[in-house]
Amino acid sequence: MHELNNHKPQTTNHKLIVIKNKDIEITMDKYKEYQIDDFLRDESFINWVLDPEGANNQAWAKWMNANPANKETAQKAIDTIRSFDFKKEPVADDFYTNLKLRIDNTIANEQLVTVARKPVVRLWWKAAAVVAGLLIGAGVLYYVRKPSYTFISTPYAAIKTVLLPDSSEVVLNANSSIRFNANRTGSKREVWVTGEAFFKVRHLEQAGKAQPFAVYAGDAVIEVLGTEFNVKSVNNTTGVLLRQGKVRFSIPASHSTTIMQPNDYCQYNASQGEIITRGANPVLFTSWMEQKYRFEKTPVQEICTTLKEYFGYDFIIRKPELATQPISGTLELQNEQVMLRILSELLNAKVTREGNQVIIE
Amino acid sequence: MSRTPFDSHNTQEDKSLIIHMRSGDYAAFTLLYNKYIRQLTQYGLKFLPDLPAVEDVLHDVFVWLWTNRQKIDIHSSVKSYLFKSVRTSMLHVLEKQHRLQSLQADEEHTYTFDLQLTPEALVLHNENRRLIRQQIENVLLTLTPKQKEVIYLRYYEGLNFEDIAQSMNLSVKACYKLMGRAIATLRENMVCSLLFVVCCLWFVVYSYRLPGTSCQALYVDHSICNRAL
Repeated sequence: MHELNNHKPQTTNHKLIVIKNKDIEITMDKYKEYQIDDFLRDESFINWVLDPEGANNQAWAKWMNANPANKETAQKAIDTIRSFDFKKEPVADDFYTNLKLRIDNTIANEQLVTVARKPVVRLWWKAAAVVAGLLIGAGVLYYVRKPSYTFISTPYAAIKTVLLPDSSEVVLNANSSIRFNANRTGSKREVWVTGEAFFKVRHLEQAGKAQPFAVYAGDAVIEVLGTEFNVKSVNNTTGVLLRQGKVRFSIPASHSTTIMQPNDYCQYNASQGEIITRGANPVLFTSWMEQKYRFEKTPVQEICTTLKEYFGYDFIIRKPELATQPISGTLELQNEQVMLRILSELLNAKVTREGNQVIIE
Repeated sequence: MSRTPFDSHNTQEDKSLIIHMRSGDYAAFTLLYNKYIRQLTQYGLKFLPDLPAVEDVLHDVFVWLWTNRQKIDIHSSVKSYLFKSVRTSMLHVLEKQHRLQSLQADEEHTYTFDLQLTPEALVLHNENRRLIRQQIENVLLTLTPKQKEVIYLRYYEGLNFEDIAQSMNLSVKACYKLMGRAIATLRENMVCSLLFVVCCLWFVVYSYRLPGTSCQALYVDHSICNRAL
């Protein structure tokens, strides 16, 4: 109810009376003297009219019922506010989708250059291309001399392969990013990940000692000595699948650590607070690199979460019993329409996409 | 209707999206985009009905938001921050366009905010509201761009006065003042049209009694009404 006191210009010493009656918890004397423009200036009143179901807005409905004498004035104010329904210019849905693609592209390209640039206007693109060339040249010089971070990310529905300065390989899944020190001469190899990435780490030795390679993902640190593994770090949960070699998976904050063997899958979630390890089929965790998504006895809800991470759509399951049903199969991710059709066949349900939502019913 | 309720829950949700964006979550960025892009497009078009120009502005605003997500400092709400960004960029565009046409490039001369009600067909068949609608339509013609914008942001987009003041570079007090003036115009007009309605009613009754003099009577009534203002 604090919102109802926000009315600033005419703050007078009005009384706030608390009535014990449960239906009307608080009445506000000042509102009884309100004229139409007082209502039109009252923040809490406007908020109520715009959003009658809103969290702090219920009190006004009660007030209206309790004060029939003021109802007419208030109703006029309500009608006035509701009449402010302004003309919308027709804009096709395509406009929003294409604009988002354009933004995604600009962001993906900008992040390849480590030096910060101002956003460019379309007219300036040609000039910007020349400048970018110079910047990359300068960047190369810079990178030989000083440590600097490179940040690479992928938009939705696209996979990227990145070669690290030590020629280790990283395959980035859609909607993911990595950051690494672009300085090749450093003794430590470190990479920060959000989203999902597959690593093929080159085994390097320096003065007879293996050079360490560390991946930071969420709360987790994965330390390796030449190996292949998959990291996924989404919504505070970090999962690692080891395909080859040996890695140490540790959570510095909770002082827990474990050594992983090939085909081990380790998961850590801040709320569960401990590392869970189990054997797993590596194919299920790495099929995304072939732009496929394979799953075995996976609940539909979980499949939808993974697809949401890849495509960026909100998946809405209209049949609650379907959400928990385990499903096995493979989805090709390259062609969205084909994916949706196969999903519909797998689930034996109607799957339709409307704008940014995929509805399953 | 694309209005988003402007309650604390929504503000909280937006803040958490920004926090997710800071940790590199591109999906949070996409959610924010999808949530506000429609409203921001409509807002931009009010300054200049040129979709490609608005597209360029929105592109730059969102690219800037992502690249500077670590640095940006959002004092009020994410929504008003986005509105403010679009506003600033649109005014730049207007200024530039105007500079090409004439030498006057201050805000007073370049700033436009085109506000019209939705076409009649979409409005309820409620006599009371139709009357109010007509009055608002008349008032909109007389308001300054700033007054129109305050009305749009407060009653349509649901931003609170503090956020509007922030995004329009006004003090909260000045914002209330603008609002007050706009409402005063609105009320004056309501009194006027009330008088007009009374006159009309009287005229209808009168003209039934005295057929033949109706035209003259109408002109007389109208001038009475005007003088009364």
